[in-house]
Amino acid sequence: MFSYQKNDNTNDDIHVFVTNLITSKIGKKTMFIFLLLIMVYSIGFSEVNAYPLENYVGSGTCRKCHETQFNEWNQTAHSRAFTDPVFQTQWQAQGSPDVCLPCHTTNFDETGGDYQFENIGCELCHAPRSEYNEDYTPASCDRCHSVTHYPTYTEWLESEHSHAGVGCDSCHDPMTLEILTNDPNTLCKGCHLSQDIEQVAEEHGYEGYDCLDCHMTTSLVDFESGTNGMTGHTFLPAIPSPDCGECHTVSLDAHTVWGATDENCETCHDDVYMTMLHLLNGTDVAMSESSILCEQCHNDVYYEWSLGIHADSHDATLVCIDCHEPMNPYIMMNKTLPPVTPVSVVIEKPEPFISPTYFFIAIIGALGAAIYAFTVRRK
Amino acid sequence: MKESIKRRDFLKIVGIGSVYLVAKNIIPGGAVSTLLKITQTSPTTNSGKRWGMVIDVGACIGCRQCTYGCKEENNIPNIPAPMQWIETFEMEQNEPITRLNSVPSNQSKTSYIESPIHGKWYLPIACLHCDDPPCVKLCPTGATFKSEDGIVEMNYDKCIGCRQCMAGCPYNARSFNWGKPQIPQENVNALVPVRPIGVVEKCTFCQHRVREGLLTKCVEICPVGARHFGDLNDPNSPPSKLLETYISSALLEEMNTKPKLLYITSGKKWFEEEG
Repeated sequence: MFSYQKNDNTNDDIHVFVTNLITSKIGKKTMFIFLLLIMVYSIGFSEVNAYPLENYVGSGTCRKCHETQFNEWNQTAHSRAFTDPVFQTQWQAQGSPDVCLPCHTTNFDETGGDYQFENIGCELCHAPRSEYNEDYTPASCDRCHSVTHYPTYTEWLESEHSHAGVGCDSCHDPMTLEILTNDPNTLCKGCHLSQDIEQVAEEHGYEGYDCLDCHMTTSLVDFESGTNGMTGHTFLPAIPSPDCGECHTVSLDAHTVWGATDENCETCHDDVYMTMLHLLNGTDVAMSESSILCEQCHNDVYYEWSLGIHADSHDATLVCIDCHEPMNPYIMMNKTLPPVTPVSVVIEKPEPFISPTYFFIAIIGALGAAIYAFTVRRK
Repeated sequence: MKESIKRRDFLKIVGIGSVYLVAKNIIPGGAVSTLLKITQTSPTTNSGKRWGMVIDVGACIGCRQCTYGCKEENNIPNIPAPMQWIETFEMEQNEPITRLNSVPSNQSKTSYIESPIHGKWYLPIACLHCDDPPCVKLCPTGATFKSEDGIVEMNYDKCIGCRQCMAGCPYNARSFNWGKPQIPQENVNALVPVRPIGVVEKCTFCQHRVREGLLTKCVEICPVGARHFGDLNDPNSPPSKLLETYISSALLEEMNTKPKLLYITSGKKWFEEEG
């Protein structure tokens, strides 16, 4: 049956200890020393430290709650800004100057010349732990990226993107720092949707060029010679006004009325949006309406074509360039039609049933025998 | 035994016969035939005109648009065998027109696939509508004749298919219908007769078009403008003006057929455009 045992815990170790403490089995001196130790030890746990301005805790602490973001950050160059061997080599070669540290370390103290954490930690961009709030808006990238050897922000200020509100996070993921899509051309085309640019991009893409090849020229910094780095964020083409002939090898043998230089190309083509055409008076013409360009000089042929007597005029949707190659219009793109009479095929004559030679011999022999029988041997 | 013919009568018959044959071959234009009313004239002739064509072999790119345009226009069959009235030859650069021994018959010259190729020129040949045509002189029935306006015409009803005209034409410009030509109904051009089996046919200078004031189909369809057709009696017509400006040559000139289809080389050479 049930045992109504009382909940008797009076003989547990902890009970004995506390009881003894309260009833002064342990001496007061011991207790006083114990209290002093506690007080001194707790100083170490206090918030007072050598960097009194803000309260930084380091990225490792942030990791405890923000594991995903920490892992993302850990893959980036920010997490290696100080420890990276390239930085270390360059930095030490110049005598480890302090000027590098506000950007390459976290919580750099100007007055003391010390830094708290290596590399660009969470708190350099986001507020330090003491200012923890719901809004983790990171600092502007220009805090570091506007120096002479990494002038991305300065370049961006020059570009049209800064006027159009296209900021760093339009293209870069702020955490992983990567470009938002794998193909830079797709990224550019996300905004630059005008058909001309897309057509030009496609045309250039066929030759292996993408937007960045002309519009983002980068170069490394050279500290020794003092050459600054270029990160290409002005998005201006490397060659401001290239000669058409530098990229396009088109011979204009038939259309060299204005010479063989750029001016000739620009008679019909726009110099920036190369697939946009224009008349001599400047009126824009789309590529699908290119026939009126030809009409400006070849008005007699155009008239014949409008009457329907120029070449095969059955198809009213044809334009001049459907048959004439625009750069060298005299040379036709006409497909040569196949020969009417196909090349004669060698017909295999089948072997005769009896070889002609033997047949001939047999016939002659029979004939000879018959003649002999009816003449010589006839009685 | 039959009474043998007298010697004199025999000699008279032979003499007149030989004089007739000699006269028939010497006097040009089939005039004897016309005088004796053996041959006919076409009822739709434009009198006073003398049709001629000029082909610019410098401009020809050998695309065969003329061949296929002519096939479409003149109901030239593909069944039972593919036929063409215009044949284009691919010539080497130094092969001149005037010293040809005969019209090139090598099939490799007409069966090129790609054109134009640098270093070769292209020679389209069809009936040259000679002023002194050997085919007309050879035709026993008068089925082929030279009309007043210069076109060497065919009467398919009179043609018996002996093919003497084909043997006599030095340019191999005529074709024979070995089988009954079959053309799909939707492709038939109603203005041109579909030929029966066993007749010879050739280029007619699109007589159904030019006598109404149009151009021949090959001239119209040539994409480079290498062919020019017009009235040689008119000094302002394209062939007249071209013949004044450029040196023209006739194929196999020594045959003395006096063709009305002449060849020139104007400045428009496609292969000179390259650099």
